[in-house]
Amino acid sequence: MIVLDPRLAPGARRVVPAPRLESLTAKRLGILWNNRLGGDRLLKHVGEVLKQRYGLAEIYFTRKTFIGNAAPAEIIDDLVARTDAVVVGVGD
Amino acid sequence: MAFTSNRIEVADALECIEHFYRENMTDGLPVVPPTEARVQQFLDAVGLAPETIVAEVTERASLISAEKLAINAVMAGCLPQYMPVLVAAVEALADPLFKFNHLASIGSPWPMLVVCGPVVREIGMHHGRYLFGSGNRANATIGRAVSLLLWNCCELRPDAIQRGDLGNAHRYSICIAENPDTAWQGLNEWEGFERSTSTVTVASGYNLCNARTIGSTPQALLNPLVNALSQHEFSPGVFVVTIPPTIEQMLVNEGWSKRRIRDYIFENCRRSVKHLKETARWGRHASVHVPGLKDLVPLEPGDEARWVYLFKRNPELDRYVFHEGGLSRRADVLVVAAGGDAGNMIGFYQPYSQSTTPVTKPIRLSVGTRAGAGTGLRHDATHGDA
Repeated sequence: MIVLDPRLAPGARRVVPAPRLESLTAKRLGILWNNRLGGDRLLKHVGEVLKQRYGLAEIYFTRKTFIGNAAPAEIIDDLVARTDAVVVGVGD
Repeated sequence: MAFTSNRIEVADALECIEHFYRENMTDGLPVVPPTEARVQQFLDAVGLAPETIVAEVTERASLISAEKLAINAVMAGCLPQYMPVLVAAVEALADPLFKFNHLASIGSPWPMLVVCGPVVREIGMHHGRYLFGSGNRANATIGRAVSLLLWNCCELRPDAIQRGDLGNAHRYSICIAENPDTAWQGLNEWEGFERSTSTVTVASGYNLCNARTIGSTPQALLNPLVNALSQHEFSPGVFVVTIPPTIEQMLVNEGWSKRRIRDYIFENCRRSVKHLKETARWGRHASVHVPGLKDLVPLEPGDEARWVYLFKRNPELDRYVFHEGGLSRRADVLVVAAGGDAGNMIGFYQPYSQSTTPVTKPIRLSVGTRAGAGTGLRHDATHGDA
């Protein structure tokens, strides 16, 4: 008996990742917190680890206005203007 | 047959079931083997090519093809004639208003499906006694097909993105129908469609609750519901309420429409500031966080007479109780005429409090549609497993 695989194949995804940086050294790192309680502490720690490990020029920390809504365009535009790479994530 | 899914060879149906368990391709229950012939029957029923894209779930970057939908529908135990309903359901789940990623929440929300219109009778859906219970194939398997599809194609699994603390008993399946003969306007009409247009509504919530009501006047019938809606998370949103035919008849006799019911609920769902403080609902999960909030917020004189309404806005008080997600989304009551004829149980599905809004889509396909003509669905040749 032949049956068909119900899972989505990798080819069925349309993810176009942003161009990768060659190095984080001397780069400006943005951190976008989604307001999840405690996530700010986790993300700031991640930033510090990256700064120590890769020699970041600076860290720019900002937040969404609400966890369940997409970040407003002005926040995205602000990150684009101020940073070279952004860390986005959820943490409790 | 031009399927692109990986082909799996198994000895028989039992081995297929065990294989799907081992590969984590099922929800915990056995599945019907999705043979090529059976999947083809499902596609033929609505004239869709396997590669037709039913919907794109952008939050998961997932293209849902007719082939994958049909495979999961077969597994769930559906009949081919359920495919039009499933296509509309997936379109609704992929709508940006639904905010798909909320399904990963620790709150364990899960979408209920409400089917409305002529299709209810055409495919034999259930809208009567034991409304949410088991026994009707269409109700049970349509809900499960959606569950399996999201399990297998959108990572909605506890070992992937689904991070709910408690999980949700409705995760296996929750799908009901509205009585197509209701004296009220149908849910399809409420949502802007013709009564002759069949629709599917997806509404994300926590759990089914009931409000036991015994009375003879509209106020006596509805106040237990008003009380129940005012409790729990007390977050503005869209509540799905099921009203059984006996109560519907009593309300209709008194001249109460769905809109009048909605307006009554809007006017009366409220909690006092005193109650909100005593139940640790004040200053938490709100636009304004009261600093140092480890204990209850002290009461002040007059708190017992200051009211926060679930649906009527008062910015001065609202900001201590409701967050942006609740205030910025649609607030409504979707009354669904359905339930048992013994008649004193009004049901409601508590909406997920953080985000999401129900989405209603028309069922555009019908069994016997030729090659998906005029459906607006698109084809994509890049989704194959190979």
